[in-house]
Amino acid sequence: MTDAPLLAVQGLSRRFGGLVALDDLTFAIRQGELVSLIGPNGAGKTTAFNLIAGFLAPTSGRVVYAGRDLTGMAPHRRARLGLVRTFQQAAVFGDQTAVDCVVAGSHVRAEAGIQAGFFGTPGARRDEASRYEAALEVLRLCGLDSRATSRASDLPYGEQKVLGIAIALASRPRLLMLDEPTAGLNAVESESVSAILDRINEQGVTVFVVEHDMRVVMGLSDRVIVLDHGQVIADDTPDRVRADDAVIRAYLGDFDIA
Amino acid sequence: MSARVRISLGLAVATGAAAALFIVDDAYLMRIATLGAIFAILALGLNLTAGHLGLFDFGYILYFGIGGYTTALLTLRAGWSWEAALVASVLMSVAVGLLVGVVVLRLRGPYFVIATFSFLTVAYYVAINWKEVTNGPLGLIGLPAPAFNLPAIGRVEALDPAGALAIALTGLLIAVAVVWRVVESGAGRAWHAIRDNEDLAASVGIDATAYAFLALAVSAGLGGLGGSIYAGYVGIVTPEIFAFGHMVNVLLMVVIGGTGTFLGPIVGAFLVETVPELLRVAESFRLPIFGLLLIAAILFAPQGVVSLRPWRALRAGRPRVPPVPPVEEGPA
Amino acid sequence: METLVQQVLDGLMIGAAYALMATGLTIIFGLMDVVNFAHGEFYMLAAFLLFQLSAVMGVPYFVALPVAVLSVGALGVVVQRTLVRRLRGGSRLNYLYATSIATIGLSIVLQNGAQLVWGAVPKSIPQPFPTEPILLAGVALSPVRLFILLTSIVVIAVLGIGLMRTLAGRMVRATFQDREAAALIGLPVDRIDALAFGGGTMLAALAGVLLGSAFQVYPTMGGLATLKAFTVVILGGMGSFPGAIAGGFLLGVSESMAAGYISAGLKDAIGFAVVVAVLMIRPTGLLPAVRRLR
Ligand SMILES: Nc1ncnc2c1ncn2[C@@H]1O[C@H](COP(=O)(O)OP(=O)(O)OP(=O)(O)O)[C@@H](O)[C@H]1O
Ligand SMILES: [Mg+2]
Repeated sequence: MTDAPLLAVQGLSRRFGGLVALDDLTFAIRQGELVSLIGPNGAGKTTAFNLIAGFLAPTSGRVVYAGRDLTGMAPHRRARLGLVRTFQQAAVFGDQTAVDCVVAGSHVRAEAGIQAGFFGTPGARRDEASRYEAALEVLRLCGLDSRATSRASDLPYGEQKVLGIAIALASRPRLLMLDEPTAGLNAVESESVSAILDRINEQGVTVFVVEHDMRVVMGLSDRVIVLDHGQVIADDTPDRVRADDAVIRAYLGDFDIA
Repeated sequence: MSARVRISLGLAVATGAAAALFIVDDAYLMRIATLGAIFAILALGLNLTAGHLGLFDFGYILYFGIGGYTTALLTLRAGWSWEAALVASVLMSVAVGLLVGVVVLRLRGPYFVIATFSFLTVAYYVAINWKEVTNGPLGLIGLPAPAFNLPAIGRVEALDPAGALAIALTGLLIAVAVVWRVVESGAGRAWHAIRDNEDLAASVGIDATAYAFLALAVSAGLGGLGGSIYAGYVGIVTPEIFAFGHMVNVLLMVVIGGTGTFLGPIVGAFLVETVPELLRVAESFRLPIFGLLLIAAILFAPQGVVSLRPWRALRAGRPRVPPVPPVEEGPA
Repeated sequence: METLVQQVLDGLMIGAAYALMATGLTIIFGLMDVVNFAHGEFYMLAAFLLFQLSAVMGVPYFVALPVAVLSVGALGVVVQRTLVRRLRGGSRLNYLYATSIATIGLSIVLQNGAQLVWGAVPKSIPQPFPTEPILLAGVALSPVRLFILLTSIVVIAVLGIGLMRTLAGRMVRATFQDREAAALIGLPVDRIDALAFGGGTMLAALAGVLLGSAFQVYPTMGGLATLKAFTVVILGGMGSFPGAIAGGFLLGVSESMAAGYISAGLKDAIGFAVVVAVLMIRPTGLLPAVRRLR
């Protein structure tokens, strides 16, 4: 168990028409790690997330998670196995309150079924109440408890982004993949998101994060994978990636401007 | 808590209105109310997909017609009682709904609209042309009117305006109970999640396809229920039961009342049934005026009449929805 | 053999009109996500305007025809400016409902308005074509039908070239493919919408004056026309222009064949049956659009 990685990406490729967005991607993530995925704009990071989470089908290659080949598995079934992703653009259930969004996030954690809910059995009521409590707890963790009854689409962009993380957390992921969680956030919010990531990682959640903010990347990560033009050009500790010539050429030069 | 207050309030108002109708005992008013109640069942059904799940089923009246024809065929050709035919009609509609779902649930947005609409249109032409079964454009005539003996109440007959109203209201009550429980069961939360952001819902493990089939099945069942009651009430089923006009009316009830709300479709149903009656004084200008009213309604109450200020006061406890509609969500 | 050729030609004529209708519909919902339920009423209105101008007011046919089409196009622009445009702002879903209700309301107003003005009795448009058929390789061609077919083909060709080659055409296509990106690079998407809505209604109007010249004109003629346009759009592949054109001709010819060889009564059902079949086998239609459907 300790040796087999939680997530193994094997020779994953994806083309869009003539464009090769991902080219023979191979890497692995072990249980409990916090790994960052970085790379210039258009490198293929979001595409990689879409393939791993099942939102897009690969042109070739496969994704193995907890020893299972996920090829052809629908996104919601992957999520039920604990493989949960967030979105680069803030994604919330816009018409609902923040706390309702998070309760929806814990949908698969409901113990009582739809039938029990239909008849309003005591078990179903308890379940509903406990999911509600848990949702408030997640909102507190994310610093959004004061927003619990605000409509999600009325929240400022940064808070919607954090709410997206709260929704994902409510599903109790085993591997949480976050696509640029701090993009569009101010310094304070950004700081609190890194603290959340650190905290859940300590609690045993494996974290895989696309990140542009180098302080976050260097401060948190056990390992950094660098993507350029759809290929892995480095996969190492933060310190060694920072010193890698290929990375500096492909990426860091361009990053200093940002 | 607030939901309970609202529902009791709604029930009180409805009971009051119904009691007033029975006391006034005016056949014309009762007829409008009966049709209002029957169409409210349909509006509740359509609202499950169009309002809660977020897929605009523009062929919904298909299930109304399937329910009507099933009831007509079983009572006239197989000699079933109306009550038994009603149960069969509901089941038949659910079955058809699931079959249609296999084809249409792969589509979204305007494409879903047009595809569901095509099924309705096919049904219309089948009803006209499959003369051996449907008797073509003439339709099936002379359905026995529903009639039963109820303990404490006595004999209820659809031929009697008050009896018909009682039957329609009973159907509506059943529909309200079913919709209320299904929405509260946890399916409602899943539907709203799918409606508000399907990708996000999938990312936390919600099976959109399964829940969409559930919505379609329950909504089709309610359509069948409405169709069966309607057939028993009017005593005749023709291809016009699949008419575009019915579809438009039910859609109006849902949207004018308020999509995805509990009271909206019911309020909308009674509004859409009454307003054209009130417009009868306008004679040949009736329909053009009705068309203009629709346009005005959608411009001034895009979220439905139950979202208007006086109604919103009743929704205390819920977060206030701002009067300005939210900005459109960007793509994922 | 001759009847077969005759039926194919008849089908092509009707199909050309379907192709015009469907192309107009595709432009409108491709750009604005609006399912235009009043599309057939614009078609009907143009036919009545042509009738009014030529039969009642004595305007020469070839003057009246473009006037009728352009007037309806202008009405389309007005509808977009005053109605459709105002409905943006809510969620995608609300917008879909709002625009549907608004265009349904509009279709009720137009249809019943036409009935008030012109009455329910079908009218014929006097047209200047000789009634003697032209004999071509043993096939009798009625001049008015030939005119309909040729005009439609020319308009479709001009439209296609315009979309591919002109600046306005490129702007429309860019907005069609990705509205947000088009707005981002500074294209006047709002004005493009108005142009497209006007253009789309003009195509329906053209179909209306053409078929109105060959058949009769009555207030409820738009209802079935809207349905046919929907059918063609599904058949061809939603959001695709080549699909709309191919689908139009395909539907026209299969209906005409069905009327000739199966039963005239079933003619209108055929299209919808074909649609259901296509949806089961190939839910994206025959020639699906390249753009990603959301
Ligand atoms: N659905 C799609 N259709 C066509 N091309 C796509 C699609 N999704 C992504 N691409 C292309 O694939 C390439 C990789 O895109 P991707 O979004 O994965 O990059 P990224 O690394 O996430 O960039 P960013 O830092 O800007 O988020 C880009 O060139 C993009 O234009
Ligand atoms: Mg990205």
